Amino acid sequence: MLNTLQQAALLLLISSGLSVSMGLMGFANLAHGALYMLGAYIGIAVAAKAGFWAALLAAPLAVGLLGAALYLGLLARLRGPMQQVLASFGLVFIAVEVVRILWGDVALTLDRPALLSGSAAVLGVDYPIYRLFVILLGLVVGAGLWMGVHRSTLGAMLRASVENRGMARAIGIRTEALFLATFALGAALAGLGGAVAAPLYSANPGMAISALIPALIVTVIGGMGSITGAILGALIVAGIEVFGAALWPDASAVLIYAALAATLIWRPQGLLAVKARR
Amino acid sequence: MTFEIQHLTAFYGKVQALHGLSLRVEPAQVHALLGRNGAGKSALLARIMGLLPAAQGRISWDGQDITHWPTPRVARAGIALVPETRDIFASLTVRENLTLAGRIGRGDWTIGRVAALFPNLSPRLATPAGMLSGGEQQMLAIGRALMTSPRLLLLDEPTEGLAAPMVATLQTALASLKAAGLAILLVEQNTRFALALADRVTLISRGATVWTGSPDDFADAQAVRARYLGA
Repeated sequence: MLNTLQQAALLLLISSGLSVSMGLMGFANLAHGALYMLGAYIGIAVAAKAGFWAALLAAPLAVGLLGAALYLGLLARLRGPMQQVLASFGLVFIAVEVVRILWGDVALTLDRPALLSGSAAVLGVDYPIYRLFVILLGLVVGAGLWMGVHRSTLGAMLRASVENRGMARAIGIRTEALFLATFALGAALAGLGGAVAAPLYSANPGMAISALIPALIVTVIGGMGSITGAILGALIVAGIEVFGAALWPDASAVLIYAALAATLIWRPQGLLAVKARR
Repeated sequence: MTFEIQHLTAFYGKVQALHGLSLRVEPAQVHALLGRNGAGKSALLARIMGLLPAAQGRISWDGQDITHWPTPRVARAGIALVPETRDIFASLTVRENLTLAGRIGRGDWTIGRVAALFPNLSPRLATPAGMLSGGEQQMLAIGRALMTSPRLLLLDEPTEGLAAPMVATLQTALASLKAAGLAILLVEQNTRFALALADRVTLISRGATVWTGSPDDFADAQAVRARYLGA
């Protein structure tokens, strides 16, 4: 149960940015997993010099800036999903090679900070404090995103721009700047996810792909462009992963794809998709 | 505060929609734009807003050349569009639709003032705009445009699909806006509605101006009407 929440928190960090860029901006960004990977490596590098908490700040900041540069330099200039898929997938290979050159092909780990090491009794079981921290972070980020999108003016601007970009521009919303900021925020969250995941799972170049696939599944199941959908999708996928592995280990790898296929058959737009025009 | 278009062309992809159209809207006047379906009326409004890319010709507003301005800048300069399809933000509430547009307004239009102009909207402020009736959506689309504090309103077939009482409400509202000093470029199929408000009439066909004059002259110009409107 707690493992589900912890896994869901992590998935939410990765997939919320993907959901926003794909659903809200119509942008197939396969490099999102690479941003997550870079978050982990930057986090490890910064932690070695300045400690865990600095890494937790630096990784999203650096990856967010990188995301902004990526958006301006490349992705915003590409029109059409095929170009975006090919270009962003190409970026995955570049990022993976850069990581191999800088850090080598071995798995690296990040030590948990002293404050969050050890375990605590939760509902009668001992549970690592660090995982509780990840759950808390996921709750904070999920609630923050939900409030931001549904209760703030900026969120309303974003929802209006997604629904009808031309009309949003016609009432004075500078959609390009808004999308840039949103994309950068999504990248920053992936970077944060990477840094947070590093103490749990070792960082390796393969995570650019291995993180992308569940994030894509979360986005498709939850419905593109919906924060609530991303939260729901993250809970579903994490639940299937954790409980599937415990109850029916032989089939656990297949179960997620079965859920994906079922979603595509029954509700191809995802559980809570946002309708977008133009 | 004069708005003038000279020899404007525009394209939908490769299809040319405007072929050197010229037009002038004076301050605080209603300029009716008439023409058959496909004559280029909606394309003209989209081009003015910068929603269609610039080609040849010139659009000037308040002494400035706005031909190549991006859409948000045109909106911030005081030109507002009410599209034929209304294009209200269906997933946002009525209040959110108005508040967002009000961000670039100068504060002369408030939600209260919009609700006073269109009383049907005031009990529905917390409703998702997609739940409104067609007439209410039209009022919201106009209210949203007004919240940006425009000095020129581009109205695309506002009476389309509305019941007679709604059309009468709309006519009263537009007359009061004109009296308050707003210039309106009014595209209409409903000639009677347009002539009741217009100070000037322009007929377009195949993306170019074919006739322009006062509403009285237009009433007398039977040959022109027969040829370009089939009426």
